[in-house]
Amino acid sequence: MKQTQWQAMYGSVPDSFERRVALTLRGIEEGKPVKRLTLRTVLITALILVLLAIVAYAAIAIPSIRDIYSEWYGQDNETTQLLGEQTAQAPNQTFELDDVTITLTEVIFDGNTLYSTGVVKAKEGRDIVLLPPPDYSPRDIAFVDTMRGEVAPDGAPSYAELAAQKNARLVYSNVWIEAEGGSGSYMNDAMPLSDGTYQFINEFDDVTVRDGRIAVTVEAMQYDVTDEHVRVEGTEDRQKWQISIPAIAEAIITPEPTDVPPTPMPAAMQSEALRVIGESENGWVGGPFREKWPQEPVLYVDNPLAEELVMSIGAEQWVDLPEWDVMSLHTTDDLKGLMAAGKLADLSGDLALMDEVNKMFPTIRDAVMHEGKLYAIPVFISGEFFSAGLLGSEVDGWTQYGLTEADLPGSFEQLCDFIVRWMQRPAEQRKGAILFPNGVRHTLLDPLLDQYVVAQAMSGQPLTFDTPEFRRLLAAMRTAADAAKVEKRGNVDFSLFHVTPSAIQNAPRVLPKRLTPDAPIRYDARMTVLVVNADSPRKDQAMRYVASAFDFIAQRSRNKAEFYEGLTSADLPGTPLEEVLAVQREEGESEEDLAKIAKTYQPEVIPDSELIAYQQNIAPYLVFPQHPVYRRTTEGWHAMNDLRNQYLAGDLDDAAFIVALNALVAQYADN
Amino acid sequence: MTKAEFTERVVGMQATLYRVSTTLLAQLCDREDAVQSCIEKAWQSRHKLRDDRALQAWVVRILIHECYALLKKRKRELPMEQLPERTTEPDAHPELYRHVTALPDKYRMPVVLHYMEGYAIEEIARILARPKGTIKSQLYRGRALLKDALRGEEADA
Repeated sequence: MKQTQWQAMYGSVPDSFERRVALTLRGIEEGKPVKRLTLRTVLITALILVLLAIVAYAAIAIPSIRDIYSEWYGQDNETTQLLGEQTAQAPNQTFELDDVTITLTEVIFDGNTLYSTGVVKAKEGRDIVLLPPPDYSPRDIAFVDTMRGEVAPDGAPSYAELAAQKNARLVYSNVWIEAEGGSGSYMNDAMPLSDGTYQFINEFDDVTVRDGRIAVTVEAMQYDVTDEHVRVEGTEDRQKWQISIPAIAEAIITPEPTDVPPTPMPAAMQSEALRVIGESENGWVGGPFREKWPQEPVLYVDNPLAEELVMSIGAEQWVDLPEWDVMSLHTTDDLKGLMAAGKLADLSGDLALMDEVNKMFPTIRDAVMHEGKLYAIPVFISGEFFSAGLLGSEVDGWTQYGLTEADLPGSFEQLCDFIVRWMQRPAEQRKGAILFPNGVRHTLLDPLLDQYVVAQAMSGQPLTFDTPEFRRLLAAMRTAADAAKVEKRGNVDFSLFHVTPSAIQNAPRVLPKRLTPDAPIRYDARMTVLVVNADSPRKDQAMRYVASAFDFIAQRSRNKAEFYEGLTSADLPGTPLEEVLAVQREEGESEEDLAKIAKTYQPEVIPDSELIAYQQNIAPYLVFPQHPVYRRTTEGWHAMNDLRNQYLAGDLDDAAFIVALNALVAQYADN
Repeated sequence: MTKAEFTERVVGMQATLYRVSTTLLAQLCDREDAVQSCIEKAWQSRHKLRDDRALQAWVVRILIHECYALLKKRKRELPMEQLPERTTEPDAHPELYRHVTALPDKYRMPVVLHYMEGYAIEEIARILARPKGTIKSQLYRGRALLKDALRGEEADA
């Protein structure tokens, strides 16, 4: 829905409201000249701030959960009042990582939601500067909560500058408090405090209570970062603690380990069970099969190659696998190689499946077929177009800087040029705006590598980084990053570019994903597929397993930008929920069941406008790169990530980076 | 900032001020009281604003405080069961409006500021004095609740 449509909901501004505004404005009087802070005041404030930030152990009273909610939502807010009634001040309990101490100061349960808060500080004697999560950058003003409107004095140091001044390490840390049975931590946040610590606050919904107690997990991590917000490899420390709290107001925290072993399937059933690798026994993909044929056992087999290797499986790993019938694979695996090698069963005999697959966009259809035959069933597509990862812009805000939509870069190369031109402006003309929430190289390197790998994949040539084009683009990025080094962050109103929440919703504002203006736009994606073992002795069962999964996904996803028609079919539109429900109603489903169907089939309705935007702007440009270094979570990908971090940390120059990238490609190409 | 500049800017943002006040206050007369008080306070304390470009976000923040203050006053004056029904304008979209105003407090204002007024998450964080991550999760949650409500309405129809 467009902003104007949302706004229309309120109707036009009534005449009486406009009159009141006009009358009030007429009544105000010119006052005394605007009083600004004097330079002396600013210097003193900055000095105090620096002193406070350096003295990391100064006692500071952190607000209670109720105080925080009073500030955010008001004293009269229902939740605030409830928390006031139920506030339980837990005794301080501390947890320790390598450099930081986490103190859980308060945990409250209101019958559904678990609220928790505490403080993270540097251990005594550790020469570090803490960088609070999740959105603070080393270039933000240190320990000023600018996100909530606190004003940073001019000249106050950033986290990176403070670390440099103290000759200290910059350490990022985060804390998550979760509870058993929850539907998810929908709020995990932090607020920097002026003494160099930060307060974290969590909310966790739909918590399960067992025997009057709640099993709570405290998880914390820390790692060093560079002043460009790049993780320093080998510095991570991450730990989990299990605690148990009573589900009453007087919460008392006591350590209590919890570990429930799974119940194994009886041996007699195991011999005839359908063997599935890559799915879990609670996974929804296999749900329809288990529901429809409950008498047929399914054994979800652990993979001895370890989880990481399942993600990068190729024909050479086949011999090491346990007996299996159905497997969940990824397009980043050597899917085509496995098809060509005859390892996968031909599914083309199922005409209904073939019919559905034929409706898909060619890019998706081609990824699961080989020489006209169907070998894999798409289950799930993921990619940057759904969430973070693509650069977008709030063009509406550009006008205040004399920029228009015509200034939007149309490619990676143009973006680099834009940065240089922007930084050539006098500081006064850039005041209040920054280029990106993070550093330039940190923001641009991933898009460059991703887009380059995709472009190479599209060219059909073997992947190499030793090309004039890659060298030129890397140099362009460096030039842009060098130009942006003088950019200072502080009281920033506006970020020219940012990571978009969804390319589907923001398609017009997403920067085209291509390296050069004349190159085709390409969105790289990863797809999960189900395959059947060509040598399976339970092929009939296996076929029913994948077909029922596909049928379920097809119905579930008709209006959802997850997979199927909304994403994959060139025909518009997908079947709306109303039609699905109408068919079910005709078949005699009760209203209660219809409500369940609606909930299951359509957990998130994507409006037609978004589907159309997706189908027009993204789906036709999907590609599924297969090179090992591109496979997320694989050894090759980790190695590439390490290299990327070394480059960002300044340990490699452009030439050395290219040599190392090519060595990595050669090393993992055959794995 | 001169009176003329201030007047021009406030007149330019009055539709936003109307929508924000309507999100929180049921009665038109209350919205008018809140906006008057807001404008007066913004003018009196304009020296606190360090950068004139942030005027609109700042005024919106003041207005939200005024609305909450008025709401609090009204609650003290009237028992809850006597609070008047919300009034909408003739050309409004009543169903959507009803669902938005029925959202819990903490989700409603982020949804309105983001989707209706086009504020970026960082700006909303400043206006509402909540952390940025909180705004993100509240937007996600608010949008999901809104979708659920609209779906329920379709199913009922």
